[in-house]
Amino acid sequence: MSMEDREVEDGGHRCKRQRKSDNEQVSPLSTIDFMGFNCNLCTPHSSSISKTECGDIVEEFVPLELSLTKSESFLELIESRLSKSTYVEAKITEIGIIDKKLAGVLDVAKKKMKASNFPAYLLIIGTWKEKGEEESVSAVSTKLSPSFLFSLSATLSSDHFPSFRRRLLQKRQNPKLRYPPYFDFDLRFPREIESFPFLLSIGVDHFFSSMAASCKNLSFSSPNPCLHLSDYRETHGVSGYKSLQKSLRSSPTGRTALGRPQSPIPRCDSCSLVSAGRLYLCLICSSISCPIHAAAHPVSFPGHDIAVDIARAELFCLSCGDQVYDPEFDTTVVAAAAKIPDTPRRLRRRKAQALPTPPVAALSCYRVRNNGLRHPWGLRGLNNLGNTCFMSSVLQALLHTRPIQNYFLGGHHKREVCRQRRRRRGVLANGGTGEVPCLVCDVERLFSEVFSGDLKPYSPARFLYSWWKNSAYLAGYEQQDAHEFFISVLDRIHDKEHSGINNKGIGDCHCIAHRVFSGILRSDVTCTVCGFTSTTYDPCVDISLDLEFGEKSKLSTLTGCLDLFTRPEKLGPEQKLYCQHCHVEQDSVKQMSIRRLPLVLCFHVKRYSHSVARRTSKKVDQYMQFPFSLDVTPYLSSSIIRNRFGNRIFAFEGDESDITGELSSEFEVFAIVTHSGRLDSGHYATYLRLQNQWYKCDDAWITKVREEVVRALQGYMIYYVQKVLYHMAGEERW
Amino acid sequence: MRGSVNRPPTPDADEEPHKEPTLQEIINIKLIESGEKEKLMELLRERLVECGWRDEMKALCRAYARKKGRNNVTVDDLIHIITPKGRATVPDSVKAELLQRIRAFLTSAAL
Repeated sequence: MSMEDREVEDGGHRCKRQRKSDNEQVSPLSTIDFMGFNCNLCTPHSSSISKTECGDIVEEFVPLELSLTKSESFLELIESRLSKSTYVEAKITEIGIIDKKLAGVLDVAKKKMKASNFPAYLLIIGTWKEKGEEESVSAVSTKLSPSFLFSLSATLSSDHFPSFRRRLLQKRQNPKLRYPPYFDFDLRFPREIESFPFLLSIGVDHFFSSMAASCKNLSFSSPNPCLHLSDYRETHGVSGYKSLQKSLRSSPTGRTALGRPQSPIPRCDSCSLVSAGRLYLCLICSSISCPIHAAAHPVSFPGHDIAVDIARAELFCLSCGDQVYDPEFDTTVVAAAAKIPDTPRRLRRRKAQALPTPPVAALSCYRVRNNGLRHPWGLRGLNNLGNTCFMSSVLQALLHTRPIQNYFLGGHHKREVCRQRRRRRGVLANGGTGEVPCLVCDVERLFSEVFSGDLKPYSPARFLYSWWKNSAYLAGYEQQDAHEFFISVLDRIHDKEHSGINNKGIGDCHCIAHRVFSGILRSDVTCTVCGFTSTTYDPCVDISLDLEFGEKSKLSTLTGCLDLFTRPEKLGPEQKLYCQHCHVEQDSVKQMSIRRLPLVLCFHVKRYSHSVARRTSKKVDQYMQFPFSLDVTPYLSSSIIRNRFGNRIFAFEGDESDITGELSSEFEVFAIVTHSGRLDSGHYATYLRLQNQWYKCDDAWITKVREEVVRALQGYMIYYVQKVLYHMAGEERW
Repeated sequence: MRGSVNRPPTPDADEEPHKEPTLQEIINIKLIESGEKEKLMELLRERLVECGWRDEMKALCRAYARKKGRNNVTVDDLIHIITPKGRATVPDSVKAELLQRIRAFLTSAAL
C-alpha cells in the first residue's frame, strides 16, 4: 500500500493520546507516519468508540510516578536506536537474550527501518480474546502470547533496571469485529537510565518475532476485514505468498514491486494494455488484469478475488475494488525486500549443507575450494633452488602419482620409526659418523608440506640436500637430466627401503618405488639360422622410446614409438650373439615386449640423439602425439608372442597370460614433463592432469591450461597411470 | 463495474484481436524495458511531493473519506474521485520536465 492510501485509510482519525501529549507542532508527515501506530489506542475500525473512552484507559493505567516525556512512537525510538545498531548488537549479545529469530528480525529492521514500513497492525500480538470491560492489566497480560511475555519479563526483571515499569493497555474491541487484539505496551523508566532505547528496541523486536508466531493463528486480516481475503486464506493458505516472494524485486529507492522474469512487461490479459496504470496479478491463476477488467475477473472465475498490485506488491481484492491487508503478506514482502542483499550467501551456504557429507579424503578438496581457490589439493609450486627445475618437474609428477601419494599420505613411512631404525643400524655400522639423511623421510616431508594446504611455493631444499648426500655423483648446481634424476630418486628410495633386507631382485621388490613403477620387459633373441629363441626378463622402471625417424611427413605418435619399440629388430653384424643351439655366433633378431605392467607407466622419450660418427649430440625437437587414454595390450608379451606364432600357444609361454592378467592394460595420462631449450641448458615444466583439468607447474607457478595446449606439448617424460586408479582418484576427489 | 476515469476507451476484444501496438504503447514498452520508466516514476513522485501536489491529493482523499465514513471508502473510489482533479493540477513545469526526459530517452533509444 502506498503512503497516500494508508493515510486515506486512517482518514482524519486522530489519536487522542497523541493530541493530548503533543502540544508542540507535529509536522504533517510524521503525524501520518505514526498515525497508524497511535491509532491502536483507539479502536481503529470503529469510529463509534468515543475519544473519552480512549482517554479513560490512558488515565486509568497511568499511576506512574515517572515524569518521562511521552514518546510519539515506538518506531521513532527504534529508528533512532537502530541507527546505532552496533551498540545494540553488542548489548544484546551481552545480555544473552538474543536468539536467531531476533537477530534476523533486527537485521531486517536495520535495513528497512522506516516507520512507514511498519504499519500499526504489525505490532499486534496474541490472539483475539473478548474481554470484559473491567478487567485489569494483569488479566490482560495473561492473554498475551507466551513468547512475548517471556521476552518482556526477561527484559523487565533485569536487575540493572529496577525502576523499569511497564504499562499495558488493552484496547477495548468492538465486539462485532473479529480482530486480533491491540495491545499497546509502554515502557516507562527514569530518564537517567541511559540505555532505555536499547531495551525498548528489544521489546519491539520481540514484538516482531512474536508477531510472526502469532500470525499463524490469525485467520483474519486487519484493518478492513475482507471476506474474500479470509476465504482465500482459508482455502489456499499462505503458499501463494511464499511463491510470490521469489519474484519480488525491491528497487534501490526502497519500493518493492513484483517482477516476473519470464515476461518483463506485464500486460492485461484481456486487453493487452500496458499503460493502464495499476495491474493486478491474480493470486490463484496468475493472470493479469488492468483496472478496467479487474472487476470482471472474479465474475468469470469465481473465487479469484485476491490479486497483487504488481507495481506496489500489495494485496488487492478485485471484488471489493479495494486494497486489503494481510499481516502475513506484508511480512513476506518486507522479509523478501530485506533479504535480497544476502540471498547469494545464504544460497551458497544452503547448497554447501545440501551436499552429502564427503569422504574424508575429499574434505580437503572442499576446503580448498571454499577458500576461493580453484586449485585442487596438493598443487603447490616448488621454488627453483638454482637449476633445480629438473627436480621440481619430476617431483611434481611423483607428488601426484596416486599410489605414491597413498603410500606417503597414508603414513606408511614413519619418520620417527625410520630415524630409530637408522640410529640403531648406524651405531652398529659406522658408529654414527657421517650420517646420510634418509631420502624417503624427506620425500615424506615433502608430501606433508605440499599437502599441508599452504599455497605459497615450497622450497624443497631439504630434499635437495638429502638427494645430494645420497647421490653424490649428481650433486652440484649444474643442470641435470630429469630422467636421470627420476631414476636416481627411485633407486635411492629403493635402497633406503630395502637396505639390509635381502635383495631378491628388482622385479619382486616391495619397495614403494618399484611397486609402483617397476614392470618387467621381456626380450626375445631369436637366432635367424636355427630359430632358437632365448628369452630374458629385465625389470624396468620406465620405457625409453626412440622417436620415429625417417619419414618426415609422418606424424610421430606414442603408439608408433611403441610399435618401434616392440618391433623385431635385426641386430647388426657387429652385434652377433652366441646362439645356444648352434653353438656359434649368429645373426639374430631381438624383440622387446612388456611382460608385466607397472601401476604407473613412465615413458621416456629419447630426445637426445648421439651421433656416433660426428661425435655430437643434439636435442630432437620433434612433436610426438600421445593419447590421453592408452591401451598397451598390443605391446604385451602375450600379444607379441601370439602375433609371432599365430594362435598356437607354446608350452613354455603358458605363464605369460597369468602375469599380464593381473592388471588392466588401460592407462590414463596424468603427468607430462616437458623440456624446452637446448641440450645443455633448458627448462623443465610439468603438466598435471587433476580432476580432468590440466595444470602447468613451472617451478613456483601453477597455472591452469587448456587441453589443446597439452596436446601440442613435446613430452619428454610421459606418465600414465592405470585407468582404474585414475578413475578411483577422480571419484574420491569429487 | 465502475467506468474508469479519463482512460482510453476499452478496445473491443472481438473487433481487432491482434491489432498493432500504437506508438504510445511502443514507447511505453521501451520505457519499461529500459528501466527508464521506473526512474521517471521516481522523479515524478519527487516532483509531486515537492510542489505540494501530494498533500493536496491527500487532503482531497481525507475529505472524501470523512464525508463517506471511514469504512465505506475503497481505493477505487478514491482513485475515481481524485483522478480528474489530480490530472488537472499537475504543474506545467513538472509535465515539461517529464516530457523533456522522455524526449531525451527516445532520441537516445532511436540512435
